[in-house]
Amino acid sequence: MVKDFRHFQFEFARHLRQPHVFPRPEGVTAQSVEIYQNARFARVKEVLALVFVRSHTLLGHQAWGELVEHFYWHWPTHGTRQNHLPYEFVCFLADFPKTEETPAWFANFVQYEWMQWRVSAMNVETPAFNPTGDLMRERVVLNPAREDASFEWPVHSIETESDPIEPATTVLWVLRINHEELQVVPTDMFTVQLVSLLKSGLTGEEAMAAMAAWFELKNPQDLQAEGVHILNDLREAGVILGTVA
Amino acid sequence: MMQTKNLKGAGWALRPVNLKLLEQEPIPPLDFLAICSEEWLGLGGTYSTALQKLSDRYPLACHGRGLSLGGPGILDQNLIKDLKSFINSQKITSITEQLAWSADDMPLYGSFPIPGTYEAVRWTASRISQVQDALGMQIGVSNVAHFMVPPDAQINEAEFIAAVVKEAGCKLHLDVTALYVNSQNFAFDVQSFLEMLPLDLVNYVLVSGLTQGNYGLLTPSRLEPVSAPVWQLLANLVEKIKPQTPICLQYEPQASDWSSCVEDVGQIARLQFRSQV
Repeated sequence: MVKDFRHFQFEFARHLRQPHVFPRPEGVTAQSVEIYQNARFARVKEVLALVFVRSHTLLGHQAWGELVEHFYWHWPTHGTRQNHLPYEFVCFLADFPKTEETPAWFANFVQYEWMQWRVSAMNVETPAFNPTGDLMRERVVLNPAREDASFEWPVHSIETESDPIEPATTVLWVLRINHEELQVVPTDMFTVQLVSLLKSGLTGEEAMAAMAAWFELKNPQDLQAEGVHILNDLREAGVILGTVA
Repeated sequence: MMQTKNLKGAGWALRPVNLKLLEQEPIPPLDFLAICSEEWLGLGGTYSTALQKLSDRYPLACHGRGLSLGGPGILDQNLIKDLKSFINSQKITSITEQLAWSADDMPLYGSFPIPGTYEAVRWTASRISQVQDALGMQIGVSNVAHFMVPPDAQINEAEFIAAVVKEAGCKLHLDVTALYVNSQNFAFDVQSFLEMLPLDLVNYVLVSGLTQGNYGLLTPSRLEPVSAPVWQLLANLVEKIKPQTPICLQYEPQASDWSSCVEDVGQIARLQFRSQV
């Protein structure tokens, strides 16, 4: 009787993933397995190459290849889509023990590059807004093509692998302006918190009052006065688009 | 069931990474563009905007390899749903999926030959029918390059393809380079292979370059130009299939070598023209 073909497929898949744990199915040569492993690895490299162009260049071809190979063999993927793989790579690097081959800032840089790709590929719907509305008194409309993240390194200033760089807490916004151009805006946790209050539906005045209460400021009106400038700067940077139309 | 609009002429396979190439002059006289669904699904923003602009200019065909038509696991219904929505939003007129398996319960990032058994024919054809029903359109299945013959085969590859296409009621998309590569690696006569296929159901053809890999085996490569024997096989094939069958070039030239792509698209158009006179 012919063995169930699906049984063979499951056996083959298990062997491809964990060749040292699961035996090669009967009737399959080691040569075939090697060819398919090489093809799979090439495909994973190709998918990551679309997103991590600068990370690859910064690390150099050989070290990059070795890193991706480590990912290929040691990281169990959880997503079912090809375009989920770059995120898996970011997660892998966050757990990856630091080595001499990879600079200390590298995992942060990879996350930064992924964030830029994510924003450029993000589907968003922009609600109607008034670009000249009163940001303090009306509810604001934020740029929906936006991500923020905090890093241990100033990743946005890294140009080459040999750049002398010191760790420094760095908070960045990556924005898509006018549906096209990507912009990176350095910020701080105060402003990120402020924007999250605006996102929850508070007006500028309400958000400033909440921040003043949170920081237990003695003169909350100072923050109200400063708030106009902060919100206008955010509008200028493209984080805020305007007020609800 | 919605019928696919007829693609025709010569097309080019576009990857997200190559969007900018289409801004370079001279742009080949393309009749359509082809994209790989796995590469574009989930890409919104600037990518989908660019693709939408292109789909206003060119008919779009879509190649896929992620549905794992002959796979042992369950069909990914979410993927089919997303594919349907992608087809509608990008006005895609033709869908091809590899006649292979590429996942068990998770993707394997490879395309593997389906064991040539009668049970596998029924299993695969039933899954193709489910996909066609869910998408509301007829799809094409394409032959793939492979590097092993799975054990316990009852029928050969050509018989397997023909049986699946018949049972599923789908179209056949021929990857000429994969066919050539397999014929060389497994030493079979390509003409006899073609005679076993339902060539009247071929409504799409793909050509790419090839390269020599490990153990001296040939493998398709989109980084290489189409080789002379593949051109020869294509010239032979266009005499046997319906006139006007669309032919897609899968060649990703270096940015500085875009003109060779223009030349190859022209070569396809000349072959198509000659077959019609």
